[in-house]
Amino acid sequence: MAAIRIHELCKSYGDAKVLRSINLDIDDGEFVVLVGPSGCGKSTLLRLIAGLEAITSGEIRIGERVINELAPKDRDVAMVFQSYALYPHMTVRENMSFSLKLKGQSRDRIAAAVDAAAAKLEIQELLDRKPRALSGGQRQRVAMGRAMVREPKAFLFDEPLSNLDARLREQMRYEIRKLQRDLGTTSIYVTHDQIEAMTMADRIVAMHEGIAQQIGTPADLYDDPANLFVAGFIGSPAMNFIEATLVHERAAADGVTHSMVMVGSERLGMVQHAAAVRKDGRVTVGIRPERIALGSPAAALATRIDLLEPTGLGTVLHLRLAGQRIKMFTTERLTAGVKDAVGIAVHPGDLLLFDPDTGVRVR
Amino acid sequence: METHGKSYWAIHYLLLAAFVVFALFPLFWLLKVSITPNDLLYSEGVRLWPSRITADHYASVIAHSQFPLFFRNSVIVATTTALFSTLLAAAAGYGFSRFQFRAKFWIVGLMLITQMFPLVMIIAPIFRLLKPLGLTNSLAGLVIVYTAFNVPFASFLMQSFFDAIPKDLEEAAMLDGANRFAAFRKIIVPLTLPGLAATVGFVFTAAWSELLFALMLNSSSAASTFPVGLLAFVSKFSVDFGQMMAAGVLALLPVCLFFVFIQRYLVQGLTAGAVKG
Repeated sequence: MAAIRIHELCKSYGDAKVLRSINLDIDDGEFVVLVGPSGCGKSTLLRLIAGLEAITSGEIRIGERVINELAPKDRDVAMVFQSYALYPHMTVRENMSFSLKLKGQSRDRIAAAVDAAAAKLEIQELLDRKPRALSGGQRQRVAMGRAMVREPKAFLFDEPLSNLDARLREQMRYEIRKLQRDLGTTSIYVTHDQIEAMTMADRIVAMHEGIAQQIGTPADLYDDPANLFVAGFIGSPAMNFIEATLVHERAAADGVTHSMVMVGSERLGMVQHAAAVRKDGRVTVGIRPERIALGSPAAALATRIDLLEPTGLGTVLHLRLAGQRIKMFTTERLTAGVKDAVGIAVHPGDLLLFDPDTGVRVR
Repeated sequence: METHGKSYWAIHYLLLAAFVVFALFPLFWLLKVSITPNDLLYSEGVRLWPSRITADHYASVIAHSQFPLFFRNSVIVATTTALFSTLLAAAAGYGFSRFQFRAKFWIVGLMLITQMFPLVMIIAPIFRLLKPLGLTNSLAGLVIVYTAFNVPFASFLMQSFFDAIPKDLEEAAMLDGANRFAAFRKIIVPLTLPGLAATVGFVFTAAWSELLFALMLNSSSAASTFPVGLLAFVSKFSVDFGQMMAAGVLALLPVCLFFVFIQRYLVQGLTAGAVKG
């Protein structure tokens, strides 16, 4: 077990910059999730840490040691692949013993380590089977077991759950997290699934176009996104983005400006911000669908229902507000139907302001 | 799934049977002539099976001709060629499959070009090259020439087998503590056995039946292979069909045996279960 420190890490393939100046400090025993759409560089970052790709510039430390030039076998990290990458010509036991055999450990110690890991993962009865005789979930467990027996400094997970069906994925999510807590091994987990990131991570690194857009706890990223990308990527149904105008009302003594958010002729609410906005006052306003409430018709913003999506837990309403599409989520049972007019209400504190040109949050 | 009537399957098997008969008939004729006594060969006309059979041709081929020597030469040449070619092809194929390196495109292109010319064109230059090196009239010369001509195709063959093995497996092995060579030896080679067997088989049969170079480069019978030996049964005034066919049958045996041994490796599907669910 060890801390991992990444400093100004860059990776290019020819002229294509895949990672730009990544800085990330991972504490001993922490579970960090790298999340982002495909092509954002998250898998590349993991492969750089594993040593499967060469670093262009920057530095990676595991513990106190700089590992930039170290061969993968000398880094003492274990990786769980999306494909599981179980050796097909070996039994489960041989798969799990492989790394210990290469280390030259004694037969008894290997058997003990494999049996202990198998017991923890409840795969004892699979030990003599070949991978092709296993189900997806069982293969997943064996891949975990192969990583566990080594007692490495860190676990690296490369989208390990994406080949499983939804139900099994939910279960394995829990099991991986619980196992990691029990073992206390520093872990880096790559996924494109923001739900996995939210549910599993101690801290999330949201990545886009090779840049770490925001690093923080799941709650940080959800409630306090740094920019439009993070705000839009985290959360489902996704955050609403509304094109609006700030009408400057008054500047308070402490440097905070109070402004009215206008969408067309509708007044969304009074917000406070310290940073300057565009001269013409245009902003992008973000609000989470579940933060919008159905309001009393008199005091509410007038909208029209385009479509209803019942999810069981509640309903997603697709609405039109002053010509713009928005979504809201409510657990109330609805009487209104498609094309009906409904009134909605928002709390001004839930409105997040973003610069429409740069996407950066205006605080 | 689409279902078909009885007549569909009847035609299906009839066509298959017709093809099998067409393909195997020359082999049958080879066997038939090899056991037909000389006096019946021309007197009985065209018959599917002679009225009397004999093993005389086999006996005289083994006891009174140079065929055993040719046979031994062929075994040496074909086996060595198969081993060298497969080793080189496995190394080259792995390189093509896994690494990006400078001039890869040109190397692959040049190897392809070697496959495009009829060999007759280059017999004279090759003879000129080998003669001063003392490699004419020698088995080593044949092995070198055969290896050179088989490696390009065998490399592409091996490359396709390596391409079929997911990179993840080596990467997993390399993280598990193996260096690249150990990962290759312990993970990739066992999974490529069918490919290695197919390549060995392909090169072996090519070298086993090659006539042109064997005839042109080696004039002494001490260094002749069996295809050249078969020509010895053709004399100025007659062709000894019985003995020639008997020698042909004997020459077929090692190839058949060889394929019986490797056929279980040729059965693909070993990598099934390596990835995904």
